[in-house]
Amino acid sequence: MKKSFSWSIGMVFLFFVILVTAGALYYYRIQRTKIIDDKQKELQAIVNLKIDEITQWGNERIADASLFRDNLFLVSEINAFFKNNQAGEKKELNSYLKSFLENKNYSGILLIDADLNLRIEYPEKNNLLGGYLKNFISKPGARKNIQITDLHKSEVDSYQHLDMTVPLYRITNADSLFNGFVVLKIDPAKVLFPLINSWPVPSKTSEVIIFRKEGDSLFFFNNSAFRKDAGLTVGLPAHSENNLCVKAASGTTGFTTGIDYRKKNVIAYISKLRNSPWTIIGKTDVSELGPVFLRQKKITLAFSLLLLFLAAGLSEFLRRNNASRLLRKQLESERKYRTTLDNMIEGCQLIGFDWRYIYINDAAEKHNRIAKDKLLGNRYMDCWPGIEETDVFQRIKTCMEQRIPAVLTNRFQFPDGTEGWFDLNIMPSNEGILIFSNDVTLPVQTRKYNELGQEILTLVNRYTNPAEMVEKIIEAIRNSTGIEAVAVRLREGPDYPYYSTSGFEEKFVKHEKYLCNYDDDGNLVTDVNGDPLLDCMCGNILCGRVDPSKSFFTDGGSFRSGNTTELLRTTTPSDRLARTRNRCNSAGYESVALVPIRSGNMTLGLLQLNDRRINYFDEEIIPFFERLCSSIGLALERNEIMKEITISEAKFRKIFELSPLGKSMTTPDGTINVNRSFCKMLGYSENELKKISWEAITHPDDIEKTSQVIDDILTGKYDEKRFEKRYLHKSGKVVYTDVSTYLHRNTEGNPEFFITTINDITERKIAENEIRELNSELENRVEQRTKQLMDANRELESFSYSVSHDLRAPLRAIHSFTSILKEDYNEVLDNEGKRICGIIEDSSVHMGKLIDDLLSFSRVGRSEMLFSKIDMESMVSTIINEIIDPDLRKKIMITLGKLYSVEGDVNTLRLVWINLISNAVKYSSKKEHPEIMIGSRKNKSSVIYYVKDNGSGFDMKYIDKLFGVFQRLHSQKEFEGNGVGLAIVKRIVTRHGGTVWAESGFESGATFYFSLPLVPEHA
Amino acid sequence: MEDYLAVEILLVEDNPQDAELTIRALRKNNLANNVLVAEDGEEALNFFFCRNKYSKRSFDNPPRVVLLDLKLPKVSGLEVLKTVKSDERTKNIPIVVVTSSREEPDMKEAYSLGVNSYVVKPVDFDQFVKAMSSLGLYWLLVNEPLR
Repeated sequence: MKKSFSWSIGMVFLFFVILVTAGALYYYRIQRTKIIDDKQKELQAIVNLKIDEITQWGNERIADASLFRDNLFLVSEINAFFKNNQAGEKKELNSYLKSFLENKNYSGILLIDADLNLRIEYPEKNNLLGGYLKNFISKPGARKNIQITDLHKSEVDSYQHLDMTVPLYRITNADSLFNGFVVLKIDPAKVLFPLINSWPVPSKTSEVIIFRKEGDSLFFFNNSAFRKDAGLTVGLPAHSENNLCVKAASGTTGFTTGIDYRKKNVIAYISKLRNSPWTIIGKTDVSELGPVFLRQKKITLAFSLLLLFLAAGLSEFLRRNNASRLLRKQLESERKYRTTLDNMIEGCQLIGFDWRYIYINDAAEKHNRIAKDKLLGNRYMDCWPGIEETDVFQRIKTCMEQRIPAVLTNRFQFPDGTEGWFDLNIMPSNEGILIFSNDVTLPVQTRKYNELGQEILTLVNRYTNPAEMVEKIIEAIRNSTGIEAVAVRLREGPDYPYYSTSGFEEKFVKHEKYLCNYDDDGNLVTDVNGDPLLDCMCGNILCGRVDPSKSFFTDGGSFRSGNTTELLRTTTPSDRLARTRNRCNSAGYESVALVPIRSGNMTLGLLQLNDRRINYFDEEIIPFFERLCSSIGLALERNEIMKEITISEAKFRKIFELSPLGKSMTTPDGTINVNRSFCKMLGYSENELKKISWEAITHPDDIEKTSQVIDDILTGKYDEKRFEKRYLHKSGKVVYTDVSTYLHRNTEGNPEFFITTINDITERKIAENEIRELNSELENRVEQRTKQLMDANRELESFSYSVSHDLRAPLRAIHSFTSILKEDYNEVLDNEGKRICGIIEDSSVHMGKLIDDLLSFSRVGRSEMLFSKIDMESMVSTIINEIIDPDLRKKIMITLGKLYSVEGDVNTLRLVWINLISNAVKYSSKKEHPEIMIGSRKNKSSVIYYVKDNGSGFDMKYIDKLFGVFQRLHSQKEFEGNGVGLAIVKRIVTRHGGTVWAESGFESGATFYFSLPLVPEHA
Repeated sequence: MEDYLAVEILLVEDNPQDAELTIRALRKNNLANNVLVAEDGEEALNFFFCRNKYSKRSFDNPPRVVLLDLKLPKVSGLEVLKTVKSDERTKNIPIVVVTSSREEPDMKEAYSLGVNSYVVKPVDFDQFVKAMSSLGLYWLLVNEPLR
């Protein structure tokens, strides 16, 4: 896999190399072409530039020439000179030409007349006209325009030059007459070659060549860069095949390559000069491109190499990436391993062959309890003085020297006296040895203490004798923990002397046995609460004088110090809360723990643990001893209680047995205990009752009820229940009882037994039944009476009805027929007869009135009352107006006082007022000045109304009869009336919940009062 | 007697004295020509509904007024009133309760059953005559019956 991957990477790389090489070559080729192309373009541009420059130059020359041609004054002056040939004129022209030449780059000026004779030559040389020029100007064309001759030499001018011919015309009136030529001589070497040969970009081999073919030879216009005398002087054979100029001469234009006159390879651009036989070539040696190519080659090569290098790197990377995956994994795991080591819960330390610490991880640092900086680099045995004597060191040494690994659990004693338990794994490593450590102090201790706890619990349960129990416990603690001295103090009167000790010196125990202090008189020293003042730290613990904010006290009320010397040095007596005797310390005990033995809130004593070794036991184990002590406390307490229970059980049994109330104890499975009273109650013997089920002695009707109670108590609906229940006496007689039953549950809440108290209430029940019967009889009677009363009422009603209806009919008959008798037999009847008839009539009318009154009285009692707020004042004034006729009204002085409003039945209260007022009127009517006073006053609960008159009054001794029906205190003769009015008043007021009374002095008028409640009793 | 066909006043009264006194009072004003006395409630109902001996009577010829006592043998006056007033054929016949009873329940019920008038018979004969006369005069001469 690894191999094939590398191989494929190699293949890919190879392919890539080929690709890059090919690419580079191709690139180089393109670049080369591009360079050449660029060069050619450059050449073309330059050639075109030259052509433009030459053209420009030509145009400028023609402009110069035009100065002569167009200057008519000059032309006429020249003409005048040609005609007259005067020296003055010549001189003038000469100076003009001179100044012209000073400003322009012409090598000379010729003035030639129309006959082609040279007239003036400036600067003056030989005054001869060259054959070439003479020939040129002889052509008719020369007379037309300004022209420039080709490059030529002549017999007069031996250098290659150009002539510019300017035909002169004199403008006459109608015509222009040819007047000759001005010829400007141009030396191309001076003015044109620099123009042509200048090269605008730096190049060593670039040049422009202008040439023409003449016959088989090539003539160069200009001097080349490499042959200064080439201009028109060199004729080259025009047949060399690859010669550039030959190529050009044969018509090639544009880009080309070839060999130049120097036989060098060149690249060139060829163009024809317009209107001339000349060809222009821009060329550069191919060799000049060499460095460019080289640079390009270098760049390409470098780039390719770079690519290849990258590819190689990449493939190497890929190869390594893959191939080293395992390696990397390995590395990673190594790193991980290192990190793991660092973060491991297990301690790990590396010790070199020279016994110096090389590496310690965090866990090991914790295990060592010394900062790793202090250990690293130091020798193992120097770090742990005394280690060489230990067994574990031998194992380490063996591993170091013989390379034998070891696994062991080791108890390690630290220099500070503390100890720890470690599982060690010692193994050889490259550097030396590697020790893995696992702190099992807690598990080991826990296991140890668990075992101790188990053992003590067993002891506590096994021994009921406290002395034995405590002794065994102390031994167990010593054996298990290795603590040097262990003691238990237990309460005895006010003090807590040592109850049992082990490991202490006799002298110590003797001196420290008691904690109480006695003053000089032998009295116990007590604190403000009267509790004995107990000495020393033991006293603190026993009295609960602990301050958990101090490090040597625990939350559980214990004391612990691992270094009592240090403790005494760093604390004050007030910190220690009590006068400490410090005997523990002076006896050399550095590690001391005092743990209270409690049961509930009661302190029974304490457990004392002493050891001369510093920090022999950790603070962490104190809670263990606290739990242990609470077990011991409970056990001791239980032993106490058991003692008491034995006593109280006897007492209870006595009570149970002798109780006058029936008692039974029943377990849910049916075991019954009963007392004598219960046996007596039901007529069974104790043994008989124990065999009988409860259902058998329970009244059949009460079985379900009892069963329900038992269920409810068992299911926890309630704990106890008092209920009535009937038992069956052995004789079959029913025994009524008041039963109270309670379910005792054990500490786990499981039912243990029912305690039932049975009170015989048969007699009470019988009495109750009698009363009940009596009551029900009474109720029956009341019911009967009520019915009778209702019947009576109904009868009364129908009686009243009958009276009202039937009694009046005969009365009416008596009255009517007497009237008819008087009427129809008027003549027959004598006076006496008529008088008797009258008496019959009156009597029957009176009887009718009696009947009406009686009915109205009865109606008052029966009618329904509708309560509403009553405006008494308006009601009373209305009544006064209704019942007292106006004549009488004038006579009587009526004083109407304040009448408070109350709620009442309007119809019946009207009757009250009518009766009282009409009575007052009636009984005061015989007075000369009758006076009636009506008023009211209000108290908390009622309004009292009164009607007072100054009439005849009544005798107070008959006041009982005043409000009776048909009771009258006056004769019919004195005052009419039938004794119903006040009875009605009384009835109405009573029905309103009020009272009626009256007072009178004989013959001094009467006052009638009635009260109505403010809050009506709705009758 | 067959003159019940032309009865103008029906007097329902079991007490013969009262009946006599009533007729006497009516006669004083010449109003007693066509008075028929029914002695109990049943007879009264027979008359109203043209039954038994009154079968020849026609509903089309009702009395001008009926004077009805409440305390009657067999069928009480209030029952008669209820029956007559709840029957379409008879409910328009004017009925005046003439009774000794001043009891409120009686009066209330009579009025709620649709009695046309309620008169309490006075004990005093003069007053009785006055009451009966004005009754008769009113119903026979003043009141316009529905024809």
